[in-house]
Amino acid sequence: MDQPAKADFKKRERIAARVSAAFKARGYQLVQYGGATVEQYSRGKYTTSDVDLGFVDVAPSLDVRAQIMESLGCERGTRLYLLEGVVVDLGGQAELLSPRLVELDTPEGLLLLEAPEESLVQRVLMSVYPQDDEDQKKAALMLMVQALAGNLPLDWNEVDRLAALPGFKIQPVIAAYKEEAKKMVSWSD
Amino acid sequence: MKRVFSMEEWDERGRRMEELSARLAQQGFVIKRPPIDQQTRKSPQKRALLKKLYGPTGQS
Repeated sequence: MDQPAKADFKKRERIAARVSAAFKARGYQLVQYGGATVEQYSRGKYTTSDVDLGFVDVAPSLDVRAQIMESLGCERGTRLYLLEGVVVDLGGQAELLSPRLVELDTPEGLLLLEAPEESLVQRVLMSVYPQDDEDQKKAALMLMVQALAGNLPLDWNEVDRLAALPGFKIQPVIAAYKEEAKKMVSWSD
Repeated sequence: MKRVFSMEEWDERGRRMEELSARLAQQGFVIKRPPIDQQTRKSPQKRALLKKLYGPTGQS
């Protein structure tokens, strides 16, 4: 990874952990999800330029959210905050489909991430719905390649379970992409 | 079910990811995000803010 891109990615990781620690101190658990997590799982190869965070279980009121973000030095807002030049998108309660979360023990505190299996299945869905999207397909392939190479912790049985859920039904697409990803791993050997 | 990683272990995995990504890039596989105005899954407010901060790419 080129150094400026890596610095940006690591900065977003630090900011996400710092915000998580501030909310944890008040009894709320944040989880990073969406594109920001794909960025983490692809080591910055898929970039979003922001940090998407939502709450596990109980979400505090908008007023409490604003107070905590202000305590970190942000201007008062409702959902989007700017912290040290990083856009933080602070959503409500996260709708997580997989319990297989990943937690990183960072110097800024613990950072909880959406399950890589869920990140993958979401990208696969976005690659074909509502229309074909090459960008999302490449993100899905990158996650699969990293998982097949043993770099990304991923349970393929959990991927299959999520892919079969009513909102997805994308098992054939997953299977086709996995074959492509296997070929990519072999080119890179 | 939660999997916990020390940053040492996570960064070692990350180092291997970067090596693999670099080999894939040599084969022409890179992820190029579209301009921010075309990233329609983001809210209009977020797109506007990212564009204001980082320009048309929306990327820092």
